[in-house]
Amino acid sequence: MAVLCGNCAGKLIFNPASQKLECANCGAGYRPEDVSDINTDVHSKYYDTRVYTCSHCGAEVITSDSESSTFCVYCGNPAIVFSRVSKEYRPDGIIPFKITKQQALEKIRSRFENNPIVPKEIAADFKLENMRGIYVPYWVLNADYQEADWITGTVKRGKHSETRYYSRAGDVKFKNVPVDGSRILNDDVSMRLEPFYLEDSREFDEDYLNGFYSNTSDMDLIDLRESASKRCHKLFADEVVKSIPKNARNVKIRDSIYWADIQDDPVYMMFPVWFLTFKYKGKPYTVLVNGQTGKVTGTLPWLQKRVWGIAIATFILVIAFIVSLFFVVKGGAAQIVTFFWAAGASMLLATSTISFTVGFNGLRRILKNLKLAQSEAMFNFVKRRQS
Amino acid sequence: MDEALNSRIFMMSLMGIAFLIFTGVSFALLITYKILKKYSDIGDSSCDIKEYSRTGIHYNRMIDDAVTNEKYFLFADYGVDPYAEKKHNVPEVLLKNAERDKHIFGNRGQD
Repeated sequence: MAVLCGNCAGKLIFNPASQKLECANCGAGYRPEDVSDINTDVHSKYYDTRVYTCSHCGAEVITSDSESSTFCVYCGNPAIVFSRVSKEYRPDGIIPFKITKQQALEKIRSRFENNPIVPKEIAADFKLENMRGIYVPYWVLNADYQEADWITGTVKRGKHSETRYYSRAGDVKFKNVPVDGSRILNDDVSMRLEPFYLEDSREFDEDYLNGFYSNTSDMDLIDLRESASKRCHKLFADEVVKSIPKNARNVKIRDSIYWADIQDDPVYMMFPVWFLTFKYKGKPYTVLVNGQTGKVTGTLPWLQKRVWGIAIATFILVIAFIVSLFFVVKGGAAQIVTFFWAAGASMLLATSTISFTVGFNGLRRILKNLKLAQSEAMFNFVKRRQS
Repeated sequence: MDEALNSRIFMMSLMGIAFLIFTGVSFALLITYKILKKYSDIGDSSCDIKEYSRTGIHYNRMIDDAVTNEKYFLFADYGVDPYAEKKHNVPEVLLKNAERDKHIFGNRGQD
């Protein structure tokens, strides 16, 4: 459990800046590898943890030292209670936090403060007390993967466009693919945190957990296969689209089948993630920072009136522009009028169609991400997977 | 004759208005998306296959001008899990979690 200072018996906390365990009382620093031999049995399959349960969303948060948890890191609810002392399986490896809490907060602030569409009162929630460092369980695996795709694309032939069909099938040997091992964290959210660089990984030592929370893998083999297949499919699909000839537009994978064979040695790892949770208008939001690289991911609420204002202003401006252009051209020579109708209108129609598709699909994606950032949606997702 | 001309003008005007509204909505959608993407939705899952595979995809089938019934043959050829019979050593954590799940959800066909 809690590791104590050799000088003054003060509590030791891992400091990402120095990569050492530091004493809160006397400031003495220790390398985690050096203190582990005194405090723990490294040969044991298990390590001791304290488990807290959130009575609101049901999430379990684990600490390995005596720090008590004051709110749920997943939904921000303060109704979190100490549940039990538990022995958990010792992971194979860990990537220690490299980004400090202060640095993570600065990164969030730099992305979201002085932001014209994010409500100002949210900035008040960007504070250290709302941040928690959590080691998230991941499985790093090698897989033989096979996929077949049926793809469509639109090709121009003279004045007309026609739909072409493409078939692709192939296999890949994947190496060191990280798959989030926790059901509470949505796979789409954890994917956005990548990449994690395994060069920084160390053999698991529970002293790295001091001052942080951790979660343990609650997956079984079926879940892992499903998540790994989804992860590999995303990588494969992005690449296979690039193999379609460049003259095809609007390329879409219409149908796929895929199989992943996870090799015998998936490695159980802990990866560092900073969670910032807060509530806005009664809804919980979570912003994540990769504790190794500092990559920020998350979707924040926006000022609805302002965004609607921008959309309506754009609508009016575009219409005013086209109407005024029409009157300018109408007053010109007859050839210019004909040219405007023939070429200008069809070009505008094509541009509008592309804008509509990109804008509509993009907004759908953002709304999906917003739902994922609201951790109650994460909770519902977990419930769906369980049912 | 006048009536026919009038209805034609009416139809052209309607089409013109529909065209204007469609163009306006399209650009408004695009601009709103770009603004939300820049200011509210941070972080992409943009990992490349090359980060996790040295060799990339080894294609067994690559047809650029397929006809629709080839879809049937494609999925007939690849519709069976080639790894279904393979046995693996399963890490203890996964086995333990499967046991716990069995208590809660019943047997889900674990290996």
